[in-house]
Amino acid sequence: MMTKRVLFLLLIVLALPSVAGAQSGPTQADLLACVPKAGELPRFRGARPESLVLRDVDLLSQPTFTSDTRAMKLVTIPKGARVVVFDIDNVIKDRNSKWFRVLWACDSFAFAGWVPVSAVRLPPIRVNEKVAPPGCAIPLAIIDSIDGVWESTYRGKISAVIDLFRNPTGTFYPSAFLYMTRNGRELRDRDREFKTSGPFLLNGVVIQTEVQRGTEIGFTIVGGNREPVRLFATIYAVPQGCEWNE
Amino acid sequence: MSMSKLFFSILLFLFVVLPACEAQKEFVVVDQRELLGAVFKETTREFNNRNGSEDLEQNFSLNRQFRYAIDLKLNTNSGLRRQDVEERICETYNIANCRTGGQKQCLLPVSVPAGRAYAYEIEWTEVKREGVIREGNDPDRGNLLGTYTIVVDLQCQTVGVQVR
Repeated sequence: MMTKRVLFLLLIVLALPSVAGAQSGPTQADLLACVPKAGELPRFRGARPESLVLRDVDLLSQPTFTSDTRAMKLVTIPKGARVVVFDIDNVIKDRNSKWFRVLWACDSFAFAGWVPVSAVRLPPIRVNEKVAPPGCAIPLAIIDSIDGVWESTYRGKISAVIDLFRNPTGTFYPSAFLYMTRNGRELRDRDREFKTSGPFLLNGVVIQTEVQRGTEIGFTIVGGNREPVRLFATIYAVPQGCEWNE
Repeated sequence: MSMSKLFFSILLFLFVVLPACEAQKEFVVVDQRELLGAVFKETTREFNNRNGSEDLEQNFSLNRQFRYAIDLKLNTNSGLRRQDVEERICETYNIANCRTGGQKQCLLPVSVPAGRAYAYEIEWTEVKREGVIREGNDPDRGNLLGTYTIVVDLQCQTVGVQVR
């Protein structure tokens, strides 16, 4: 099965911290159109506050705590956009040097990743801590829809960080399970249950597995209802010696 | 030995020694996966910023008590005492106050634009662990003696705002 709506990003292994870019995706006009007008109501019915982006900022696959972190630039979020801040990293003690994990969602696209706290108008004290992807993890690709598939270019252990959400309807999404699929088959011991009446179904869950070159990785939902959902996942290689647990 | 002493010894054997021997049967609690349980909804008080000239931003603390409810299904021939197994399940999850229950605090980020008033719709969801009871010490090999779920936590999230 070939990829549907997949943004496949090759990581060019250079010494520079941010090295890869999307081969396709929203245009600059799309990005700027996602900056809300004054007085617009919150996108997710206010289920989580949206915070103002104070300057143009690169959304990265992970915080760059060390100079050898090879983070992937997912997109540049323009000044004036509003992002949902999910978490703050648990690594740096100085809260002003920390990183937020954010979701930047519009009607036609969404990205989830990490930005420095200084780029967002939100006191870091108000955000819950979360384990950030380690610097030794190497971002490989993103999948930006539930139908998306990534064909592995890597052999070994991978981690996927996944956000699953929907447009707010107020209806209850009955119990369902998100599975990672490998060559189209569900990994039965890697499921995550969700059920909620809110728009955020799963936030930043980590699922790991082993892959070969050419293995196709995707996701599927079992149970629930047939309501459309939106997914954003970043896939990382976890080389030997790199500690990252689910 | 008098008849009364003999009778007492038999009673002691039947009601103290035998049950104690039975309770010593080795078993292991094997955690398997996370599930979600019941969902509870509530609406917060109103956060009024109708007369404000700037966004109202603060954290609001919510608390909810819950029971570490255990749903234990032992095989009829398991030979285990329910109470022993339940205590071991609680130990497995480092729950010291299994009988009294727990309390979850949730910090809700409140953000109300100037000129508006919001009330927040909150959803609490039970987080459960599911597993099995196996005979012996080996979590992979022993005979299956039963299954269980236990509520170990509550998670909360805002699912919407009521604009007032």
